[in-house]
Amino acid sequence: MTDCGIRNTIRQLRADKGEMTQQELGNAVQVTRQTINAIELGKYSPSLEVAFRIAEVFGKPLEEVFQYSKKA
Amino acid sequence: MPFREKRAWISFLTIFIVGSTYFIYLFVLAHSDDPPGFYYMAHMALIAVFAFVLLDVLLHVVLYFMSPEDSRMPRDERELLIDFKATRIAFTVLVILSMIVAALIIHIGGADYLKGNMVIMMVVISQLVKHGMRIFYYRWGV
Repeated sequence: MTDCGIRNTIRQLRADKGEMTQQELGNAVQVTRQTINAIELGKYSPSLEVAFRIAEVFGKPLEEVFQYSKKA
Repeated sequence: MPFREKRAWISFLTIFIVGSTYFIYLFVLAHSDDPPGFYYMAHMALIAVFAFVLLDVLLHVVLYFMSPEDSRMPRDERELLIDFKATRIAFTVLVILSMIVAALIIHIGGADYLKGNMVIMMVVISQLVKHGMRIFYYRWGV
């Protein structure tokens, strides 16, 4: 339930963007701060639409923000 | 704690407190020397429903004034998914309990107030499961 097989670099990208807060990112992509936190921790896999919006905020292609790895 | 998790806790605790108080009171009454009639029991059920609505609305209003910005924010996709999954599990529980209650009524029977209260208990349990699952998903991920 807590490991969805999708990794992401959102924490790093937020730090690179001048320590952008989870709340600021949440506001930018229209989800709650808790949802951003759940995505960062791998507790929730966002929809494609939200994933694209997150990538757009950081100005990165989707695959640089989210990586899929098959579970063993 | 997220705003909507607080709402789930409010609903869960309100249903638990009102429901358990009602059913314990009912149990004591039913086992007394002179059990009250159907209309008294129906009256008690109405009072319990009224108490639940009043308590639930009051606590939600307090929560609204404590965090007005969060309360205005629409539910996002994760919160909708949590509600959907919790409702689906609660519905399954409701269906299973319906079958059990129907079997009990057909094979065992009992007083009218007992049958009515079995149905009320079924709804109360399914709602406890719903809000309990919402809390679970908010805490441990969906």
